[in-house]
Amino acid sequence: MIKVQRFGELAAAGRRRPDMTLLENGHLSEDAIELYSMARLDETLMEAFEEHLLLCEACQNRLEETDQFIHAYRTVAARAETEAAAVSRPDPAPAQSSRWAWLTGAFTGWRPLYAMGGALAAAALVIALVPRGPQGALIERSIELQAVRGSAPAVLSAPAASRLNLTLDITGLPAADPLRVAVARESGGDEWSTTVERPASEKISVKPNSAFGPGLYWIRIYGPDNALLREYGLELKK
Amino acid sequence: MILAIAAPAMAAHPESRPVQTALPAALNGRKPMQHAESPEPPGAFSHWADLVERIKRNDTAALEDLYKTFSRGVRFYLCRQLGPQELDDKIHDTFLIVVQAIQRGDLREPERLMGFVRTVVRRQVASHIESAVSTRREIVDVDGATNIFDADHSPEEKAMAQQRIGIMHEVLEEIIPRDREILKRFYIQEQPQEQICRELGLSETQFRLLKSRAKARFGEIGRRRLASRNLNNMMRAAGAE
Repeated sequence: MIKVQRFGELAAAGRRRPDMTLLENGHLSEDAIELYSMARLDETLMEAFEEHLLLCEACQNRLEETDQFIHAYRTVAARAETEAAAVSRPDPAPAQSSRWAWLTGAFTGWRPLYAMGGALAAAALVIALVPRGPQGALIERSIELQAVRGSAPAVLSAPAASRLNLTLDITGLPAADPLRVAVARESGGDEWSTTVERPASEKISVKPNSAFGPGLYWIRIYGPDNALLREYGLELKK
Repeated sequence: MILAIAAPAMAAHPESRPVQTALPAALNGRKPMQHAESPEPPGAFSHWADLVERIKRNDTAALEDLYKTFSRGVRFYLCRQLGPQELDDKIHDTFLIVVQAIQRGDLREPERLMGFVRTVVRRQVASHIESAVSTRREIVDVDGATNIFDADHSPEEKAMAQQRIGIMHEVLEEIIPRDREILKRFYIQEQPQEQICRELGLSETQFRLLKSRAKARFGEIGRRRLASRNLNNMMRAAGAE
């Protein structure tokens, strides 16, 4: 999966390499392809790079291979880092906070989408107490999750400590009925689940009966045979 | 689909009347034509102006040429940015925009056709992303770090992604710790090449060689697995007959 490159929002730091060659033997250089794959190619080279890419099948294939390589590497590296953090734990408190710091830090910028793969292997997060409103009632928040193909997965953020009213896009899912919707912790265990009949529209709405504390959650849709059909990420922040 | 376009450029011509533009068969929902062989690298192509003129004259063959030339690249770009969902529609829209703009006379420098197509494609991507983000902003107050989430992988895509991760494990196990450190600095910590080489005492050649070897090994194992899987499938199919 490839990171979504949002125009106008690319990082500016560390991307200038005035000595870099864009073309070698009539094709994009390896350096240029790598930097482009990591969204680090200098803006001044972007136009020429993408114009070449529009026409050159060989360079398209090379970019695709580079994307796959980098994504696989980052996924493996992230998991290795998580496992190493879980193993080397002389003192639970510092390790937990360092793990939390790594996860928190991982959610800034675009790096998270590779760290996410490793995040699944982490132990349970600390769940904060859920504050309540003036009359003890939780604030209800509506969140709509849509599937947009293509890029590397990222996570929608929302405030924690609120009742969630989730609307999930089921466009393109197999014609399975009923569907089970589960909210799972980042470590994988289900916090809540419910079974719903497939509606005529392409959206289903569910309302977990309790609030969730800060942390990373996976909103999963299963078919009747418990096959995972779709998964959304939701980070609840304080 | 037939477009009725009034072409301003026709004003100077005796037959000044609205022009019917037939999109190439590939854009009319029929099976796309075979994509032409990948052209010479850009810069060697010297017929953009001629192509643009032919499109302005509503030459059907010119529209086919335009599609053949750019369709693969446009498809690749859009799929990479937005995914395969509704890809054919997006490609169709892109080509419509390009053709209509050319026939309106909006492309003032025909030799910059490539840049124009690129601009249209980028705007398409930006428009789709903006639309998706706006939809969420109406529901939830999201912060600047939010990206678009996509979890809808086909089982095949998931299996291939898992396989690539497994291959990467193998590749990294073959690499000495120092070389793993170099890869981590570049691909994870995103340190510039110059910094890595300076701090670890590497030459540029050594640095590039390390990355190339890792990528080559990754590709080699992947191809071997694919060949093995294809062979197994063939043997299973032969056994079943």
